[in-house]
Amino acid sequence: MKKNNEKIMKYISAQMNETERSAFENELAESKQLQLELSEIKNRLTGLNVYNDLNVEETYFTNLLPRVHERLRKKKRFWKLESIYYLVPSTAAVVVLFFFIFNSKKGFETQYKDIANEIANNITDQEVSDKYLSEIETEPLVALVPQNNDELNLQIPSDLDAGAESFSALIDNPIADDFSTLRRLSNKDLEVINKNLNSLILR
Amino acid sequence: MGKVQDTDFESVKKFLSGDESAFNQIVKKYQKKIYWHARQMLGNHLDADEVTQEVMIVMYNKLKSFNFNCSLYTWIYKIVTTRSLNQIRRRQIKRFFSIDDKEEIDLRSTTDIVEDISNREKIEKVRKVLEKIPPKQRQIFIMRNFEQLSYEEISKITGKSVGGLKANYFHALKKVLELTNEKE
Repeated sequence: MKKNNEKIMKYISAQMNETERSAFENELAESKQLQLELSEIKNRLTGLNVYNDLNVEETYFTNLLPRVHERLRKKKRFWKLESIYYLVPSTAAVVVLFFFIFNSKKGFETQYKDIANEIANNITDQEVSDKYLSEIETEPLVALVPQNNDELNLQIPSDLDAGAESFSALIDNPIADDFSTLRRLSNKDLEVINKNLNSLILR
Repeated sequence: MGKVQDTDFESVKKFLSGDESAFNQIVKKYQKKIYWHARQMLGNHLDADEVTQEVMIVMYNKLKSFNFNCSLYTWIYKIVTTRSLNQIRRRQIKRFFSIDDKEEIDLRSTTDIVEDISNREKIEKVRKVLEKIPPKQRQIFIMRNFEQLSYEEISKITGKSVGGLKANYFHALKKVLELTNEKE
């Protein structure tokens, strides 16, 4: 690289301050060598600009705009389709979700059907009662109902030590009042029972 | 420049009010400048064509955000320079990972819109020089040397300070002169 090149490049790229610039221009006015070197560099740079006045296929530029419009149309179509691209996976996700929910419900029902079948076919009434009705049995009021129902006047033990007040106590008992068959008996039947009880007392 | 700017602004306004032909007018006016800037930056027709089309699509979609604060020419140039630099990055990445298709490389070197062979050779010589300059310095060199833009105009386009641009151009000049010296 020639010794003035650095100076010339600084001048061309406008990197000199005012003082440097006027000093360079003064030197340029006096030095033929510097003028030569500057013009050589400028020519070299101008020589690189080969892009002006080129013979090019003008059809390229004629067809450019239609091609751009075609791409724009495709893009617009793509954006319209894009909604489908979003819709398809989201629908699939919803379907999968419903499938899982539906399937789990079916499983739940099947489970109950199995229990029902097991109860109906493989377990005795006593086992059903022990296994599945334990809560009912532990409920005091409900537990009393069957015991105070029909058994009352059918199974009076022969050695029952019942006093005179027993009958009225039985009648006054709220459970007996609500559930006993005594209330459903006719006066005639009640007289029979009364007689039986009295005979027990007299004995 | 004022008259040009007024005409451009008029075209933009027409386009924004729904006149598609105004967009065509803008494209026809600037398509060669867009293409040649991209071509000088990228060195081959196929990449330049790709960038040119991209720029036009961006223009079509973004003209509604054009704020009339700068000339349309500056606005378009911003898009061209950015897209060209992006394309260079894309190529570099492809080359780095060796995923550049060989057929495509061949096609890039053979496809051209320049008709006669002597011109193709001249362009090829310049391309070899330009490709050795870092892309950002190349960008400044092209704008200064080929497109005769002032530093102020380049500053508006690139968003860089005038001082920084001068330094970039200086380094680009130095490199170009070294490379052309070697050849001679």
